[in-house]
Amino acid sequence: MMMNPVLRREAITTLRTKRAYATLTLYVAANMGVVALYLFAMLSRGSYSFDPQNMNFLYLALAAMQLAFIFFSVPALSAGSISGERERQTLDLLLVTDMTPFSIVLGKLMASIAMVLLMTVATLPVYGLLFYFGSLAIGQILGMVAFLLISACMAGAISIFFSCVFRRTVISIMLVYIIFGFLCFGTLIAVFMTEAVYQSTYQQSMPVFTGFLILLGNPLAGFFSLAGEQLGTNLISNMFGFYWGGYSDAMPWYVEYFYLLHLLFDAVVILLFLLFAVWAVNPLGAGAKHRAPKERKEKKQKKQKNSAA
Amino acid sequence: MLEIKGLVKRYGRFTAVDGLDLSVADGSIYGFVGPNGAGKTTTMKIMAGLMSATAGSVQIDGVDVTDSPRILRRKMGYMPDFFGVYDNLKVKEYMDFYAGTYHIPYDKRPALIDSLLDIVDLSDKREAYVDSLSRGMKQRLCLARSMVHDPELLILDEPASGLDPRARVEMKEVLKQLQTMGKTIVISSHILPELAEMCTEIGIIDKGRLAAQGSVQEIMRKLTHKRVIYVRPAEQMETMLRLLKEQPCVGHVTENTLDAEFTFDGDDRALSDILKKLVMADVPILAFKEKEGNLEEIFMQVTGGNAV
Ligand SMILES: Nc1ncnc2c1ncn2[C@@H]1O[C@H](COP(=O)(O)OP(=O)(O)OP(=O)(O)O)[C@@H](O)[C@H]1O
Ligand SMILES: [Mg+2]
Repeated sequence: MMMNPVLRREAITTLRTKRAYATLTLYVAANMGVVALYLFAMLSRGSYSFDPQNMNFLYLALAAMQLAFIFFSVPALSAGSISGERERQTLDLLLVTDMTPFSIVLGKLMASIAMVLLMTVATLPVYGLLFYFGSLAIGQILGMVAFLLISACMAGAISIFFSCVFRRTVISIMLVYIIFGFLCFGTLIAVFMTEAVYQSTYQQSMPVFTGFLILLGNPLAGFFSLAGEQLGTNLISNMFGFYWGGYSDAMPWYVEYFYLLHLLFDAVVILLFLLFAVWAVNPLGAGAKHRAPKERKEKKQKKQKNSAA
Repeated sequence: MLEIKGLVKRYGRFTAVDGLDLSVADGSIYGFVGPNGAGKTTTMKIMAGLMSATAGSVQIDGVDVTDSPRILRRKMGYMPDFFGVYDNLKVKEYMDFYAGTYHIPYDKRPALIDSLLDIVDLSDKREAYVDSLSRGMKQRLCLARSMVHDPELLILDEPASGLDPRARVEMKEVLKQLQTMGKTIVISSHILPELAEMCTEIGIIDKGRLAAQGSVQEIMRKLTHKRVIYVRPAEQMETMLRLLKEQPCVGHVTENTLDAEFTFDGDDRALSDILKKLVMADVPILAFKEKEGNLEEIFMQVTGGNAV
């Protein structure tokens, strides 16, 4: 198996920059800072033992920080992936090679995810602390890492698509932030608005299913669903519990496994946007579409001529 | 063999290429000449499968470029008129990257890269960063890059633009070497004389149409309707001039102190007969050759001639 050449090249050039190391150092430092701050707060409260419950909260804080970091950094890393090549006039050189547009786009996606993966791996020792003192199993930490990586892939796939379409990287970054802003907070507002509509028209809560359907694409809901499942505290049911007060003893499956549904949603989005990106970057693919109607017209005319004769 | 039939490219309402037909035989160097905006780059991009045509077709060995771009990309190397390089990448890594894009196995790459860098004379720059190279070096590197998969056909869009005279000569040497390696080369330029001496065939393109096509001599002949022959005897100038003036196809004879020029409108056979007659008459001939004429003038004439 040969490594994707685009990924390989990006790895070589990125790791040669001082910026990569500076970012990595800063990131690990930030993670450790959070831990230090937390321990300091714990000690100043006069608690000198590692309470697993406390550790769980720290875990949640660290994982949330990773997620936030991913949503800010992945668009910044990937939104210039194709437009940057276009700008420095290397895209044509890449497109005439034997690489398919799909493997070019995939290489770009893997390159941005690789950076995220590197950062996550670099902070794993910090998680090790949690693993050691807390109640978390290694499998759970890996589960969270997988969640974070899939989230990163989604942010990356959307960014790369915009990068193929727009020449200016800044525009792509802004659009991705807007989309994620909508997914994280817009859908939340939508839930509350739908609830208000239900309350005023039917004088009752909306169906639980509807609420979760609206939240399906919400990465925060997915995150809290997974974290809740891992910590055994049903975070998501606590947070949105007011919708189904009566269900608490038998939680519907789509609430219990909400994070899996969310990941499924992510997977579909990743696939779709990768395909859109491939379509957008392929010079003949995009052009072929413009050509098609004309050819069809010509064929039609020929047919008409034939039938007339 | 490369064959273009009825190629049309429109950008909105503007027609950049307007019904172009041409064919390039295997092993030839085809020179694509035309003024700015003639449609050379557009045509070459369509050939390389980087742009779709509005109408018409480009076929390589009978296979259509738009139908199976991947098969053809393996057969051709393309060098654009403007291109960039990556930061923080060494020459050998740059070549290795493009070798990877053609799925060349890792173990074959070092030897391949060495031999290509050798052809373009960049062996001593293997460890240099690509963005530190001079323009001429980058241009040669890009040429080496376009040959990484050993293509039969090279499409080179103004490979000599922006080069100093010395680098141009070097670029020409490289291209001649490539021809001896059996490659078919399509090369574009603004400058007809630059292409004239190395191309086996020339196509002059203007406003998206092919204004003239053929070998340089053919084009000259077609356009000037007569050939100019340069002849230089060691002595017996008078005998030679007298003999020349007696020949049927010879028109005006211009005599200089050491040599002479005459216009001629017969075929190759008649021309060689003249030489034979001169030699039989014991005129010691030092030089006898067809003058390439003023290519610039012809270029102007073909491409509208309204340029200064
Ligand atoms: N993307 C584009 N959109 C609109 N018009 C274009 C585009 N690309 C080229 N053209 C127009 O098509 C015509 C042909 O351009 P092309 O680049 O093929 O010329 P050229 O022969 O390569 O010229 P030069 O010698 O300057 O490189 C020009 O008039 C140009 O303005
Ligand atoms: Mg051009």
